[in-house]
Amino acid sequence: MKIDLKKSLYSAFACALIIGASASPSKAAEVMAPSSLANSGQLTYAVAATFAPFEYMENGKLTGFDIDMITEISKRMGLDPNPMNMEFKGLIPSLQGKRADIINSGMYIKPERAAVVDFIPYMRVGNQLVVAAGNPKNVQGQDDLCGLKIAVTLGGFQEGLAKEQGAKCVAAGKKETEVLTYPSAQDAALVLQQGRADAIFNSTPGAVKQVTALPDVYAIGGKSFGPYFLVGIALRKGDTEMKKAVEAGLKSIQADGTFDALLKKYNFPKEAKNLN
Amino acid sequence: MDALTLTIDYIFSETFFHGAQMTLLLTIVSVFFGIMVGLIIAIMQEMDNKYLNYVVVVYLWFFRGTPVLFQIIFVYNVLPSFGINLSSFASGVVALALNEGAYIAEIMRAGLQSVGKGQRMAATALAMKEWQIMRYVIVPQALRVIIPPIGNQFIGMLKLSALVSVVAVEELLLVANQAASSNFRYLEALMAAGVYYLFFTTVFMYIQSHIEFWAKGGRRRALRDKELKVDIALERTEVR
Amino acid sequence: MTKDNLLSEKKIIEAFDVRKSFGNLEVLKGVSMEVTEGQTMVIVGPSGSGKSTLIRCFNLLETINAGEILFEGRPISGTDKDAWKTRLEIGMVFQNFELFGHLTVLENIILAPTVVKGIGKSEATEKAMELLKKVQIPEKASSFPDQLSGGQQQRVAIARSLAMEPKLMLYDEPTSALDPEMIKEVLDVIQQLSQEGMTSVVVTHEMGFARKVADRIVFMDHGQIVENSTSEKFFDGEVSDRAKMFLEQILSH
Repeated sequence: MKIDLKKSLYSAFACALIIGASASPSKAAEVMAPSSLANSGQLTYAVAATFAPFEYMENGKLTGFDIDMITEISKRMGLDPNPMNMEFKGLIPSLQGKRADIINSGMYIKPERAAVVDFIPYMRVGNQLVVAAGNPKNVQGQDDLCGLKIAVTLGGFQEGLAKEQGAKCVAAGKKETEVLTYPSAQDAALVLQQGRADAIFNSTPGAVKQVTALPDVYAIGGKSFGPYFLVGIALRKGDTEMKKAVEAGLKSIQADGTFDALLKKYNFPKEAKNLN
Repeated sequence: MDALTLTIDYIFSETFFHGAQMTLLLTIVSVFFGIMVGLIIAIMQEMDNKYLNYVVVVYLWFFRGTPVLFQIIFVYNVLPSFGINLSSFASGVVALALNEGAYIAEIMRAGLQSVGKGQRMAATALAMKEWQIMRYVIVPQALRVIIPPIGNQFIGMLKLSALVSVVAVEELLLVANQAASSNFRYLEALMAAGVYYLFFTTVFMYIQSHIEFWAKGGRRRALRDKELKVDIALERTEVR
Repeated sequence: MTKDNLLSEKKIIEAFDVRKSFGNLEVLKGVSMEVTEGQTMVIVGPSGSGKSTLIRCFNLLETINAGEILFEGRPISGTDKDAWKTRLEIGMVFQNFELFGHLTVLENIILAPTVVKGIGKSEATEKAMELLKKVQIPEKASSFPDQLSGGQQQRVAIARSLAMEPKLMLYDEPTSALDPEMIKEVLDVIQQLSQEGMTSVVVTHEMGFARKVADRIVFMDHGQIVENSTSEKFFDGEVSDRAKMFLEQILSH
């Protein structure tokens, strides 16, 4: 009797293991998930949802390019995405404190930051020209601005850029650009909407947000131009395992067109994915 | 959408409501535990023990000398490397309560000292023991001095609680800022948050005035004061 | 004034060469005296002479550095644990009344009997009302101390001490903080208790009261007893020069 009891206990235990193993959701993981995660089964990412179009709150829901991107990457790793929505200041501390595996918050790669964290760049953003919807003056680049009116913020780098362009136009024998200065970006945007200017400058994300909010009013004119910033996912310095896994996930969604589809969904210019 | 409609929309939206709930919860729980901590510190100070006093000095020095924001980030992000892993909410509450305790301890100390030494002497002369003196004579009178500042601490904590957004607690101000950043309607979002904050402050002030009334002797005293006024008016008693 | 039929030879308080210092300052420099049952002793002297300190040693509000104090023949120790037992039998009335401000007059009087002696609330209340009648202010039972005059507060303080049924009453300058018109009502109460046989030690500047009520007068100066005699002898001038000087200063007012 004793031996039978042992056998049945062993087989019961083995059965339990098998049932347990097959009961856990087995996602088809294309990419190896890292072995140590802040919360098992999840890719925990710190995010500050105040940067449209990358991450923002819409009707109480966390939305944005980064949110969709990381959800896709998590799927490739067989993990659930776990966003930690916090104030911007708390992002790096929570990464370093290992409460988050990565920071996914549209973070611009800057040298001071790169000294503290490692980055996986995934997008390049610069500046855009924003024109009236339908691009009536067919502005495809800064050279097309000659003879047009451009509204800029007073004293900012935009004003310098516009005046530089004006000088170029004159040097090439074309009509000068007319530079209209206003105190704020809101004013410049309004003037464009009213048709009193032909174009304004905006950062790539800002332009995207503008065009998404009012597609009947604004459109992007031409490709991005510098100065550029790379946007990256931030990781703990030296966390090579996590970096490999996330990079692999990113490559995977770039390879099969998912990344491109997201760019299109959020109105990003196609050249944003070119990191060079 | 005009400003008033949007503000009202925000006030009744689910995200704002939950944010307000979270802020209220943070406030009440943090001050509650802060009172516990402050009580312990105040008692430790009363006991006049050299080692306990040292602990108290270090505690007060650290928690009043560093920014609350730092303390919150520390509890959430640094303590795990010592094996203490608290959730966002718990980290926020622990940091806020410990910080609050430092100030409440001082309030209690002032309250206890406000009770004249003669009161203790009189009670001692009546053969009362130490704990009886504290319970029946000192503490009831100290409460009168302690309650108003503690009421103020509640109201202060209402705003201080906004700091825990730095460790991913979705309190009211974070909700308002994030709602506003997506459509630039800052005025409406912050007004909606402001309405909630003012509402809570009003409720706290109302409760505080009732507790103060009770601590002063409540209805008994009010009745007696009224009778006394009548007596003085009718010259049935001398004016002091 | 004597109350021969009430005086006995039983010694309530005895002090032998009592010394007390506060830090480096010696306040009592070898004080010896005794109070017998039913006696009323009045202690007088200039400020700083140690009068208040001495009577506080009797109920252990102060501890002595040398010498001995006996209460009813038992040495009273300074250990806090048993001090309260001695205090059960000694009542004390303070210059600043020290009524508990958060309690009504009645609650002030019944607090110690109910909490310390475990007497039931209704019994304590009955006794308290009797005492309030005795000190002539029963109608103030549900008033708060700050609604009373100084004289009324001090009478409540006396009633509060009496509620514990002490064998000895100590009064530490009971009328020094009162306006003149209220001094009489308090002294009248103390006199009445004295005539009823309550053993009393009163520290005071009220010489008229001392002359009328005291059985013995003690004159203290600079931490020592300079004079300790019957009331008649003291006021008839059979005293030391130092005491004479003091009397002249006091009585010239």
